Amino acid sequence: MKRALMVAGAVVAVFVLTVVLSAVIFPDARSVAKDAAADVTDSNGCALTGIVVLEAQAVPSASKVPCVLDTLVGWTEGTQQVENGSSRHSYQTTSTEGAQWVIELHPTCNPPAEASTAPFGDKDVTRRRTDRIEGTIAIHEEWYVFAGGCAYYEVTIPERFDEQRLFRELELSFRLIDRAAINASVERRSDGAFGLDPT
Amino acid sequence: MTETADPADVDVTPPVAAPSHATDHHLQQGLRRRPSGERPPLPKHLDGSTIIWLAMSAIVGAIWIALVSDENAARAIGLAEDKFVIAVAGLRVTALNDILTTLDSWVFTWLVPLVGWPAMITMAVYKRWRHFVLFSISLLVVVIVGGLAEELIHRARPFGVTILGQWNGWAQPSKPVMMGTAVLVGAYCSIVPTGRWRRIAAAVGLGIVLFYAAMEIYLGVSHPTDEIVAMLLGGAIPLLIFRWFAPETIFPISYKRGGNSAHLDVGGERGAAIRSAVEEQLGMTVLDVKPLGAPGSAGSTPLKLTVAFELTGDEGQLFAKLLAQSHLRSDRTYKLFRTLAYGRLEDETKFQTVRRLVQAEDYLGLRFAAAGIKVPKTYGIVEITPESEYLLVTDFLDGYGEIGDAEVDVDVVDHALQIVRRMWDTGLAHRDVKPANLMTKGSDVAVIDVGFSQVRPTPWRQAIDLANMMLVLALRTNPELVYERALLLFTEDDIAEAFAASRSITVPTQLRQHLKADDRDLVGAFRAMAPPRKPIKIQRWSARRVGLALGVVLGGLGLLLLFVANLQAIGLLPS
Repeated sequence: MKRALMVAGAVVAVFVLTVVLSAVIFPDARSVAKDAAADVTDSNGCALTGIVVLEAQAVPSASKVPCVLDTLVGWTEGTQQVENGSSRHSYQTTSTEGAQWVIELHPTCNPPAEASTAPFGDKDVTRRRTDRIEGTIAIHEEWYVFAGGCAYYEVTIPERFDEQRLFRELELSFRLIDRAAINASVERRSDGAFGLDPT
Repeated sequence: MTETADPADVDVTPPVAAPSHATDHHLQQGLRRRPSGERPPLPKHLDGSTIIWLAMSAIVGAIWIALVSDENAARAIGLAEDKFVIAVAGLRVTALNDILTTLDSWVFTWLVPLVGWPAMITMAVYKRWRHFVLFSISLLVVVIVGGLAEELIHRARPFGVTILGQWNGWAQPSKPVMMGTAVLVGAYCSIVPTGRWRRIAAAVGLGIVLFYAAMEIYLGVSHPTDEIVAMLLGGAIPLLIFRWFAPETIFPISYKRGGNSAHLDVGGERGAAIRSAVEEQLGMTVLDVKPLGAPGSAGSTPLKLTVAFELTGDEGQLFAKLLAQSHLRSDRTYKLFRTLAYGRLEDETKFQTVRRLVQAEDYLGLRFAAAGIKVPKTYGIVEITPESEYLLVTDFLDGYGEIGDAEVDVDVVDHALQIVRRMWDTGLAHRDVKPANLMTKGSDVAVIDVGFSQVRPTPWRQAIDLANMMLVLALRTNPELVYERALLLFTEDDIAEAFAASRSITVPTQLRQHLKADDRDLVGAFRAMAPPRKPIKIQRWSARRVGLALGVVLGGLGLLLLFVANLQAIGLLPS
């Protein structure tokens, strides 16, 4: 029995290991989503990653989906939570200062009245922002309201040290991708059989 | 001080180690040596359902890996699956959509807690702690493996459909179906007894899982392979863990009245193995195997064998003790508890194998017999599964009854005390003197269950044997009589030492319960009669004991925290 169990365990181990290795060795061989992600970038160079596709599926009404440029340095990706109706993912600074950047996507949002309007390159998007200090923590929030959705992000910097520079750095890394671009990519990869959303 | 009588002058019938049946001449007939390479009576093997699961996992896994490793194949599968989900979505009916969306939301939230909590509560109520731990561990392993696969595969939800159901994270493997399968298989392995109920549970569980998977595809939440992989992972992992760490043959699920989870099931495959093994190794035909289910015998599975001797065809009854891995673990736990409670007052080294455990018990029986103490005659050890299960076959002691149910007169008291005297004289200690282990027939007294005994024990342990024996006898008579008869074999100082060493913790549980039920303060009565003596310290403090106790406490706390985190991870508690 011991031998049989060892063989069985080895089969399962090989199975899991092969899944893991195949996923590592063939990272883009999994699905249309990966294919779609591989060849789409927006005009500002924001790559369509798998998580962006999933976020688009989480909020099907959203005409745009948030993304972060690969050029962002000094930050690492934290938790990702994407579910039907919303998405949330976070970044943390790699240094010890403990700053955090949380980006969310919702079908709707209600920016507070005191949030100021800020310019944004896309005329279909209304951008609102607030800055406040709580104790020693600097908090910067932004709302990007567009058709069918709202991207929200919050930056918290526990130790205030040139926080405006950091806010600006993140702002430059933040983009909104048109849903139409994702849809077109999926359509192309499926040879026109289907797109991201139902026709 | 009272004069001690020479034991030789006491008018008692000397106990002898003789079989209650003259079976010796029946032996040596029909014996058969198992040739090299032949399977043992009860070989270890995986059962059919496990093999089917593993085969399915291996086949589907291999195909899946082969396909996804090829980019074109992967793309073709992706396209085909998306087209399939779109086609299914094309068949949607509005009324059914509403019903299934509501049902999906309910199942998504409640399936795991609704199956998981009752299963865990049932296991806790029936003290099936091994299954309890394995259940939560197996679900955690499923969460970890599923999470790993999900993160590495990164498969999006189906394209081209309106997703109606609830979802969270990547599509493959489907987490709700994976966890639903895992919790159902875990419950199936840990609370459902074999037989008809298991077949029903398997059919119902399979039905639920297949329906849930189909519902997810209908609602556009996942692709077919997401569901297949989820079912395989959710099913195979708990099944393997339970088969490995709590095999049904050793830890059967039973709710029979009086059932003891430490007692092995002796029906089915094991029953047949016992019959053939006894026949080949002892030369007797087993006509019946009956579990005795003695409440004080959790360290083994006691059996009554009705046998026919091949040579003469005579029938007789034998006692057999089945010892297996579960009993070895029980011995280890018992010794750990004793080390914590006393601090290694005695040798608490655990047995490493079942073979050594059964060898020790057999040897001790022979030593008791050699000392002239009446014990059931041993007929030897029968191998059921090498290194895992052995049967120790002895006389049944026909006509004997437990001393707790017998009439105890002066002769019985003398014989019982004589047993302790002989143990003292020959350097033995029984270490578990209680009513269940003392059998009488007329004035004859026999000792059973010598597995915990020791050769050349500590003086403290010998004194405890005397105290416990006197307490057992006093329960059926009165302390004055027992004290008076004890003085024929022991000095007053011996008795004072015995009761100076006696503590609640030194009294076996069954005897303690009897003492509690008795209105008299028997320990107090003996202490009052014996010369005063300071209590003997039985606690031994050492760095090892403190470290061990700290380790157990910290380990327990760590396990508790891990358990809570585990419940959160598997969805039985909110995060």
